[in-house]
Amino acid sequence: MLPESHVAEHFANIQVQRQAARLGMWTFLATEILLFGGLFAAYAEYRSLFHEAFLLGARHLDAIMAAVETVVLITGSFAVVMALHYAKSSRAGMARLCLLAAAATGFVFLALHGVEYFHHFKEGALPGKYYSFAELRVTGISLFFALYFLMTGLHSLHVLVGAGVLVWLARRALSGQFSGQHYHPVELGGLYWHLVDLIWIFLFPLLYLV
Amino acid sequence: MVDASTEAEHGDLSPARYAVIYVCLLILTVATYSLSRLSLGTWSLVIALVIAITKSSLVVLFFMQLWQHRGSVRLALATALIWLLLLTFFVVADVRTRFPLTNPTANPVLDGPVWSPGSPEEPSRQTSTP
Amino acid sequence: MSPSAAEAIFPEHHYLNAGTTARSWLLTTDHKRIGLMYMIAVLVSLLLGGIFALLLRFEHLTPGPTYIDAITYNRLFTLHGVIMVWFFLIPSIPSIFGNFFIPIMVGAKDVAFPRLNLASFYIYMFGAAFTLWGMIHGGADTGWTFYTPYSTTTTTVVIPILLGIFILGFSTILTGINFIVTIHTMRGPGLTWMRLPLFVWAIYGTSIIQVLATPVLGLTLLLIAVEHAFGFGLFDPARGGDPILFQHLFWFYSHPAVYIMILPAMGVISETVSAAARKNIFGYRAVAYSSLGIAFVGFFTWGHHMFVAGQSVFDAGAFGVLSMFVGIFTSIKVFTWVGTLYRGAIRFTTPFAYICGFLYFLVFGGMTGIAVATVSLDVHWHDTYFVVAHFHFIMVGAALMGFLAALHYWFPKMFGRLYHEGWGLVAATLIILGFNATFIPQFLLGNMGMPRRYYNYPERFQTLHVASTAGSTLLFFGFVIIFIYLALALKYGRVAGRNPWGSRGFEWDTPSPPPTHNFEQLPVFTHGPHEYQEVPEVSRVA
Repeated sequence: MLPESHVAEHFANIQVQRQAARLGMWTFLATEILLFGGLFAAYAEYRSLFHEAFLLGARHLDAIMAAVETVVLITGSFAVVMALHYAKSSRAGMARLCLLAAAATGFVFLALHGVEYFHHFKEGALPGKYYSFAELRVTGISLFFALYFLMTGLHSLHVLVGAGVLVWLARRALSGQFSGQHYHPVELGGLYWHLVDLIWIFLFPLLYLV
Repeated sequence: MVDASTEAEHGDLSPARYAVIYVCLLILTVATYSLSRLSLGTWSLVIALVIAITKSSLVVLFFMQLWQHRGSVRLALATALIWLLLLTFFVVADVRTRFPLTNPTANPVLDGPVWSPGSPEEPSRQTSTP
Repeated sequence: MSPSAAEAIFPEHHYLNAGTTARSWLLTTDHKRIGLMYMIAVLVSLLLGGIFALLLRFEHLTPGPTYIDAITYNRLFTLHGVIMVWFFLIPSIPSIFGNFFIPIMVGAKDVAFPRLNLASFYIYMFGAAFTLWGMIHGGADTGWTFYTPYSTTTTTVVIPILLGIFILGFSTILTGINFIVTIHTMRGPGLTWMRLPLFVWAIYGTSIIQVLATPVLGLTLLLIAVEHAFGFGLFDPARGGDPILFQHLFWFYSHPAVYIMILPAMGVISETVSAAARKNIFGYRAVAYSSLGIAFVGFFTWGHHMFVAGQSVFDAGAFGVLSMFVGIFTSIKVFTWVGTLYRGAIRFTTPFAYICGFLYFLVFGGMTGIAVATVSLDVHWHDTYFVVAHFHFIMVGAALMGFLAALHYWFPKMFGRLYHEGWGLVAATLIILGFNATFIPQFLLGNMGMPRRYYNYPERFQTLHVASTAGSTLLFFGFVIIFIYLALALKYGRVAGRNPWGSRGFEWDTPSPPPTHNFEQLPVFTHGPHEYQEVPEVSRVA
């Protein structure tokens, strides 16, 4: 197989294509950071205004479950890193396995989150006008839960998309497409997955721990 | 012309090194959880953020390979982060420097007792700290 | 130096006739064809937004109800704003001329991600469809700024329009990513950053703004929709929410957005001013760096839209001071453009007429911008026609002049034909005069206290309103004339040849219209752009 066969027509060579793909994905990740950024700014404002509600709200959330979710996502990130390593070494089977494992961590994460949400639905700890949890009545608590659901909800949507991307890459890996010369789809998909992990690294302490 | 295949190996860590980073991340996760169970007041947020920044730095530099990649991608990330801080700073500065009574209060029916002038229970909203 | 008649040949094979099926257009990845498809969509948006503007102006012929009711009036100004900002101004120069010329100017065959580029176009159309749907069902009456709590409680059709803009935001982001990556990674051999055409610098700055700001808009629109549908209370004071938080999030995007609108126009002026004066650009580095300067500093100023909204005095003061910095970079550019024209060999062509209009509108619009960014003055002018006149001076006056300059400067390159210069000048005159007639009365109205977005007004304002409406009609006729002679030129215009302006821009080295792959041979760059003194007009193709 000629090394140049993976280069698209408008690129001068594979290096340019790779650098372009990488910069393109990182620029896109920058936009995702700013998308969540608005919610982080809202969090910062309302935490400042309703400090007690945020403290009590955090205490009420299941921190241990969230810690497990954190471990799950970090494991997924590690799996993705290994997938890239195997893709570069042309080890299609291992690459595919790692990608599927990473996707699986995403689904586990979503399942655990679903359990959390179900619990909150049952007790009435819901955002805004739906808040009916009698045991926790403090000024601003409905806002805490509004932010909780919005931030984790948006994040979960990205986990779903990320897991989907990894599954798609796993299928491509199976057909032996990836090698030391052509691995950048795995790299790019991996970058997106790592971003999902990064956002959770901040959501975890901000919502559940402090 | 640079051989394309050597680029793949240049600068990449070995699986063992990646595993070490992974373990570090797990340790930091345990650390942040444990420390949050202690009551440290204002410091708990600071410590939690410091640990989160450390963890994310590990992910960004090594898992996402920013340590070995060229300037423009680093610039993209740095800019996004600074911009995030810019937005957050002015939003928080706004609520913290406003005349306190212009800040929103919550619906008393849903969220607890309402504060009215002269009532015996006055939540000390003005002195809230992060 | 004008081209000899012998040079003006129409190439046999070019991007327009390379494939004539509908499929070859609708599924194209050729950046030039995508640019043209955007041109049609964007011009339709301009027409729609312009019609809404005329309807508004005609309503204001009399103080009370003239021919529409109040809620229709509110819907019209909302839709006028939404269409003009998001469907016309923001995509206009980048998506049409950026798409068409950036690859050519950097010596590449296409943008970095051609299929993504096509996707951007279809996303734009999809977003437009949603918004249109919302419009047909009555449309929102919130103003294009969707302030809470009204936008979250109004019974008018808000959500489809929000969704439409949200979808459109993706188109903007993807285009921005495409340009950033193209400029960073696909410059031809010898093309260093300091040899890039100034239009490329301007689009680069614009793309940075698009990429950083638009996601925040996306989130904000999503939050309004969620709030409207589910009542989470994020911006509802009764639940502890802060309406001003909405304004912070909204303007964090929307102020930089105005630089998305003006920066490309500035890039066009940099290109055309050099060609019109047939002289090196004065202060190349200053212009290049100030493009980045505007892109960055534009993000530090958003609170100047909120001086009377209720934000803290600290924030207001900070934003007031920071807003002044943008004026510095704009001034640098104005001085360099004037410096370029000074002692140049100016030909008074249609693009030059638009350059003159641009400079005039930018200076006065910009100065009034600095004026309203002064807290103590804005307390009087906020939400009056003064502000309306200020931003129309910049957005319609300056940005639209830039758009028309681009259209007239690059028309020969894009279509291989020349339009009728005489009519071009007539239209330019009508537009500049019409514009002044429309908006100078509005400065006076605003200063006298006429509030914006008001359906009724006191009798004493009527004369100025009638004057403004008369001006808008003149403006409209100017556009009609442009449309006619450009449409005729497409078929009957004189063959332009490779470089009818004698410009030193890189894009003039390829045939007019260019071949599908932009060049017969990929260029090697040995010197900078806009160099009239040093370089005789030779082909740069190696």
